[in-house]
Amino acid sequence: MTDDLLVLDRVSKSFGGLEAISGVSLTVPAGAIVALVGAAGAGKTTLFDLITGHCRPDAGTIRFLGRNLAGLRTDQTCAAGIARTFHPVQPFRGLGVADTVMVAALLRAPDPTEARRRVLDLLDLLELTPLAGRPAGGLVGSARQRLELARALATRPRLLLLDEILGALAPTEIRRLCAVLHAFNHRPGLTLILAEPRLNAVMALAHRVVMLECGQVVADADPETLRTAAGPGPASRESHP
Amino acid sequence: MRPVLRTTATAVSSGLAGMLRLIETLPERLAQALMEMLADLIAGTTWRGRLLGLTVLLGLATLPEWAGGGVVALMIPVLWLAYAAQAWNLVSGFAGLLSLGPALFVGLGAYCGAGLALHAGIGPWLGLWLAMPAAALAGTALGALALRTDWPEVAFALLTLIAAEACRLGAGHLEILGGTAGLVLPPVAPGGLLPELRGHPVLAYYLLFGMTLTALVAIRLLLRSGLGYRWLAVRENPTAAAAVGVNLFRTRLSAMAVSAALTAPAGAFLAFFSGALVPDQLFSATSSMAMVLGAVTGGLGTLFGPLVGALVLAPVDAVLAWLSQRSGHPLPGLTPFCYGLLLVLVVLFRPGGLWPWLAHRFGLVPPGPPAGNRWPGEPGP
Repeated sequence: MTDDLLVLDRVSKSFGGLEAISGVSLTVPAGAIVALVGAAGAGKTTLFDLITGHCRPDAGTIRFLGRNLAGLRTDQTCAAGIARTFHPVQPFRGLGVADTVMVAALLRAPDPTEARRRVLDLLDLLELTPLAGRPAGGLVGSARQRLELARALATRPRLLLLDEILGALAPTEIRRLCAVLHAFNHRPGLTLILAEPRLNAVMALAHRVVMLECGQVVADADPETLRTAAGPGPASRESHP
Repeated sequence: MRPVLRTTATAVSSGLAGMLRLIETLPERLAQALMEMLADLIAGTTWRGRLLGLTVLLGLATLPEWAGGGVVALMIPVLWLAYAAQAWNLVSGFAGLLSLGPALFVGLGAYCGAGLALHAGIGPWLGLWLAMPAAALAGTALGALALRTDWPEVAFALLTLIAAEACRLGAGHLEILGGTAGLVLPPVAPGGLLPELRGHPVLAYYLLFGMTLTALVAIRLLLRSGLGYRWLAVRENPTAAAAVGVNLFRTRLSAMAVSAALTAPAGAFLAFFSGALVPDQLFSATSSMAMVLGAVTGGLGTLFGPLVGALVLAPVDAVLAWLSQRSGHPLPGLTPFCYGLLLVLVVLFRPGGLWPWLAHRFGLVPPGPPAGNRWPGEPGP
């Protein structure tokens, strides 16, 4: 199927004796917003590491745009169109905020003038312009997450993996960030996978929720079905946009 | 026939007019590019910093006019160390890859230049263009070996250290390079010859001044290019750099190649101006240490750090020589001891190096944490 952006087929990965991911199969169509929900240690970050080529699966295949990602390094999967954010954040500490985004923008725009223009647009979009000259290591609060997002978006990805980017934020912050993500999902057709420990943070945004437990997919449904299945829990407090 | 001629004439005339316009605007464009380059060079400094920079630049440019021969002789090792430490600073300070054997490329540059001059009759100016790629190639080969391992940073530091030692021992056994006794270049007429790069200290001074200035400007501009951004990103966080599409292996290798190529002229300079090449001195660990310490003392990963560090470090040798002359006792091994002491003091009291502290203390850069390049939205100088 050409519509499927990312296809994981029975992917497994263990560290020592611990099986972090066991037999995960997952298909993500282009343009989807998928929430990957699971407690700490459920394997969300490991799954991202496997998709981006940060580590290699022990078994199974990962296909992106029909292409097998086996053996590709992180920079190659990024060039192929997969970007990610890190949790905890991984800033270029000594570099300025704008310079951080510039490094990523230079991937698609080798001409510094054009890259600069894209950086300024992204900083504006994520409300980072007043911090442009600050060192990335000195940021506090949600600016750190927004910088992670700006840097990932600057590589012009087709698929964006967001590792707990909403979890630590205040509700108003979440709403603003969700609006940005929604805009990117709408116009350039960016596909999103959001890893979050709690379901309610992603309820409003996600088209589909994949529950991960001990490295296995235990549920895969749209948020509405899950909500009714879970009953009136904390998730129901979240309002739709 | 007529219309064809007419169209041809129009085409030729419009082409000529276009060329004329291009030539007309060329000075303007060049001036604009030059101004942009200048603006990039002085970005992130205060007016006080710029004024001081200009004063130091003019002072150094006219030094042989107003200072005695002794000062010029003292400034030659200072500028040499500033240049060599700057070249090392590129790979270890800006790209974050610790090289412990920069003397390797000093020696390579020296032996390439002198060997070509002695055995092939190729002068230093031409030989330099062969010595620089040779050093870059050696650096790339070393890097390619070390960076393929599982622990690239450690392997790289160890391999550069070992390679410098291996070359020191190896050069002592090669008859064509003069063995342990070294190579001696034939003497030239006094007064100094620019084409032969031999002779007068003032000539040596100006050559080093030019080299140091060129390296400073070149590195500053490189840091504003895509390559420079990738070097800094890899230094700050390799994992995150790879995640935004930076090829770690290629980026680190390029830093090593550029740094090695920049170091080679320092060696060629030593060879031609001293006229004698001794492997034990050229490839010595003490010389490597001086380069590393020059940059660390002044400020690792800063543009002016190596210059400040060299101003502190290079006179140590002169002072020790003077002391041993005064006391009549040779003082073997005191130089490395003093270097070690200095390193301890710097690490204890100014871990970021002297330059960042000085620059903030005297208001040469705007207050606050060091920022990167020029971006709108930040307070101007």
